[in-house]
Amino acid sequence: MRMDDRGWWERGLWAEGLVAALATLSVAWPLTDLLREENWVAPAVTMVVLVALTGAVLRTVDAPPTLVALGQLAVGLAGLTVLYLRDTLWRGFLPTEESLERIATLLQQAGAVLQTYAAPAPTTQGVSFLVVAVLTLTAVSVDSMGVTGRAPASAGIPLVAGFLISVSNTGQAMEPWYFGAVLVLWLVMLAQQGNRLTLAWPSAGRRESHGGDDVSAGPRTYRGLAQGVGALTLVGAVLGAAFLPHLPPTFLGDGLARNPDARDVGGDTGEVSFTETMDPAQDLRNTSQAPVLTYRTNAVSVQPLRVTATERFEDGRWVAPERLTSSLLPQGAPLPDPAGLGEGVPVSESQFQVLDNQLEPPHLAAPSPLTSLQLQGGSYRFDPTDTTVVLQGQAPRYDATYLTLESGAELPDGIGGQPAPASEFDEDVLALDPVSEDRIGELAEQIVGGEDNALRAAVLIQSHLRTDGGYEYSLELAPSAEASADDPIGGFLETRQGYCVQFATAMVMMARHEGIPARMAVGFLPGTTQEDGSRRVIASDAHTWPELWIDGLGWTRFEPTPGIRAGTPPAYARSTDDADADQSSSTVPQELTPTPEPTAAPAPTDPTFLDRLGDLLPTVLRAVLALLLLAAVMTVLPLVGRRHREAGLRSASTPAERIEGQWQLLTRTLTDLGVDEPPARSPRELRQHYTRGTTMDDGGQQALGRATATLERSRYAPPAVLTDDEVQQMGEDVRTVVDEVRHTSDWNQRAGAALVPSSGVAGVREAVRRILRR
Amino acid sequence: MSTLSPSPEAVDLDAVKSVAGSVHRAIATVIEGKDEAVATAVTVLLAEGHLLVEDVPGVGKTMLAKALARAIDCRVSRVQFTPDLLPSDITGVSVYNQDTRAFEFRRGAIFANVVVGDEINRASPKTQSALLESMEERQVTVDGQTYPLPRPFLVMATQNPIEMEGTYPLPEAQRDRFMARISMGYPNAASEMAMLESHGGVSPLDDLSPVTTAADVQQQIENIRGLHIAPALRQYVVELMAASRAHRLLRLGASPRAGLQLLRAARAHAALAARDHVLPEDVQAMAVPLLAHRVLPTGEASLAHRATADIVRDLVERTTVPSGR
Repeated sequence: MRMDDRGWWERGLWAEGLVAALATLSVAWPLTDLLREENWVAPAVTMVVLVALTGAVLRTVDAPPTLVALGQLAVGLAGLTVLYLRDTLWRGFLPTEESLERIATLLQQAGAVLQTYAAPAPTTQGVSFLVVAVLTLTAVSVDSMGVTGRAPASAGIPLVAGFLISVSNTGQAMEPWYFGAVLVLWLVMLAQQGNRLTLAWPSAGRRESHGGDDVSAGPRTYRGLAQGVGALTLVGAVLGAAFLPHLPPTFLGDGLARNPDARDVGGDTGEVSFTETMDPAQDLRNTSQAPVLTYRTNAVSVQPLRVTATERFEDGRWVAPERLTSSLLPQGAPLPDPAGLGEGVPVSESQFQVLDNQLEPPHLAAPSPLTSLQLQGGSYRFDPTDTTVVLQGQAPRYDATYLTLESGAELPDGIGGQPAPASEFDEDVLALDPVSEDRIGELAEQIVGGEDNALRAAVLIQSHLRTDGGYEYSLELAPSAEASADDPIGGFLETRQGYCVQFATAMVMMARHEGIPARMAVGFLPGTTQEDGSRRVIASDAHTWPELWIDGLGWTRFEPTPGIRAGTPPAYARSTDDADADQSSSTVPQELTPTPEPTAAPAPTDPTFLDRLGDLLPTVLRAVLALLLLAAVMTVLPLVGRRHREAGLRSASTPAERIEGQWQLLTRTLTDLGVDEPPARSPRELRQHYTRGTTMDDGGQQALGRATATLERSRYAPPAVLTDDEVQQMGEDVRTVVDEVRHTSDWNQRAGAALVPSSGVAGVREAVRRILRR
Repeated sequence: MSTLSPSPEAVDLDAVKSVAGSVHRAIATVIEGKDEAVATAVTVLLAEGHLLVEDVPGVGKTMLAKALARAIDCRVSRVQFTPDLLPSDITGVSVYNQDTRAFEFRRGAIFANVVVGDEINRASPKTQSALLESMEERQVTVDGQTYPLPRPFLVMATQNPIEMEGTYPLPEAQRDRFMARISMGYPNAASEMAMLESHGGVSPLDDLSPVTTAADVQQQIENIRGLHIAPALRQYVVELMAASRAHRLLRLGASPRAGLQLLRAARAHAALAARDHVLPEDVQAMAVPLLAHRVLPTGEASLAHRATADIVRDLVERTTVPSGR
């Protein structure tokens, strides 16, 4: 490549490197909102500038692109080491085992901060390290793609990736200028590249030489066009932002907009959706820490907070109950006594005080059964059929009292002994799902056996689901082989994997099969205890459980869901082997909060990072082997392609054959670079073909002209007129043309020509044909 | 492109170029703006062919023929073809000489270096045949005696495509004898203006003096014969011929003689560019004037008003150029 005629500024692409560095920094700008302290900014700017400078200097001295990228990477690593790991270095420059452990510590620290804190998070050393490291990598990739690789369009990918990480970790929508800055800088990168491309065209000088009359070509015309396109893009982006519906911000961990479940989940309000769908799956995935409810209670054992209940199960899912206003008790009417509560059952009344209520009306969360309710603001009605409070208007605070069974007290004999009086219940509470009826029945018979007592039967069912049946708690349902899509219960019983809804539904159905009236209650787990003693309920505390009508107890809560996202089973419903699962309610909440995926960074102390590395070694080895294999496979096509391109040259003996070989090398290499294959025409027409199909400067054009002239003489002139010099000159000219075309074609084409050359495909095809013929 | 490597039997191409160039320039003083037609005419002269000029009256067919004849210092004869023209008027006749008591051959109009045959389609087929036979054989046989024709020998016949009544248009097979057919076409506005100005007084033909001699031209013709033609090009010509015979719009393709003449014309074309070897471009440049009058379009092509020149152009575009390997 003849680059020496250009100045060092041009050769090093300093201006482009500067813009790329600015674009990388603009990606990090939103982080100023997310992190409390700004102590990461100076190292970040230093690193990005360092990477950009390294790139520019290496390009100025004509280093090959790979070397430029490697150099930038090395400088980036060195910079990070000096900034964050200086005291772990051996003799001040060699990283040690301690350095690796320090990296692990820093990353783990960063992970812990990011998990625990909502924006703005404190900028610990670990967070700062993570941010600067990611930015350095972004700077290297943006610079090597957009500047060294001359493909600023592709450089948009790392930019967008970095930008997404920046903006998608806050619950709030970001200010538009953060996006605007990235967009404008990226457009400038594109414009710089476009301008450089058009300047390289042979027609670039025409406008000047023809005194301004020639408007058909010249970069100025294209510059105008590019400015128009750029302006249109900006307008389009603004209009698009104005007219497209705004989705609530989602987190990277939610899969952003790809996760349909995450879309409805309010990120920052702690809004819940299960009260409409009767399925808390979405809420359970909600990572928002915003409180839905903050309350205090004086109860010894906290109860789940019930919101509503439903009896109707249709088409494989629970349907929210319809409430007729006429059947509701008016505001102010005393709450009726819990139905079916027998004499002699030891109960006590507990206080429940809500300090902050964010749950949308008409829903109200409170333990059950309620005995009194006082609202501050809003009014309520009471539905006695499923003992649900229907709220009207916002009630930011309210007080309630409710009944609990006295803990440790013995239940009187004969509880659950009588079957439920069929006349008192509508048929819904005993209705079975026709699709899963047989399977449910079979299992219920097997579990309950001959047990007549409803309470004991219910405890048997609960134990089966909770501990004995080998069920597994999982938010992801396993695909079921036998059960059809409209039979989620059957599927759950087969795969034994599900979350509260599946457990509760299975218990409801089995109870109904045994003749016990049952319904599905939805609400919240008791939440976590705050430092001030109040409890906080968040969206992912959503929960469902079955309520069974037991003679002598009335509607009674059971807890068939195992695992961390479940309540404690009520004392009356505990079997002996479940006693060890008894967790004091004060310890449960910590586990109830959803714990994000553990970070990859291992603990700094025992086991050490290197120990872990040892465990990982087989996996690493396998991965390295796979990578090596992939690399080997990837080198096959380029090697075959090279052989195919040079086939003519290799078998040539006479000068004429060598010239034909060189020409073949030229045509096949240019075909790899995306130039149309030449037609079988005369050399002069071939020259026209390539002049039209490529962009080359004068040097390239002249080399092509010489090459075609030599080819022409070799083909048509009297024999023995070709000298060795001419053959050598042909080789040089072919190299010049190929270099020139490669220089002006874009990054993708060059990458394609290097990795998956079409000559390689042709070579493989030829080899296969040869083998087949044999 | 025109850099030449010395070769043992190097031909004097510069001489060819200068002779052809001076002839071309001389004709151009008479025929305004018809470079292509003039170049083809010169090429045909140097390729030892004969030329058929076909166009409407008054565009300078005869003028071209006369100018070419005048530019070379050689014997020129001109025959105005009429229905009553006899073959012997062309070839010559044996007359009994009372004095010598022997038959004496009186040479006809054809005994010249350049023969201009005006409106060849007005003569009877018999007379036409006499001309065409001597064109091909370059000799005349009368009463068992063979008389060779002088060299160089060029017949330029003109033919008028309109006013066809009472004419005997050349049969297709006969047209094959002409190496090339050109048509003059109307001059463009500028050329016509220039023509009106310069032809106002005396005929520019009067000012035209010979720029070369018959012997010189003959020397160049010999020179051109030595031009190198690569095997790939022969293959190219063969493929072109084959393609013309297979073309779906052609009822009659090109004859083997056409191929032979195409190569000869291509050689002359290359020599005019002072190149010692023939290129595909030379063949392509001569393909239309050489082939268009030899091929016959199908009824379909005639109905679609596809000129044979277009079809030949299409043929050239579609036929691949062999690379010689």
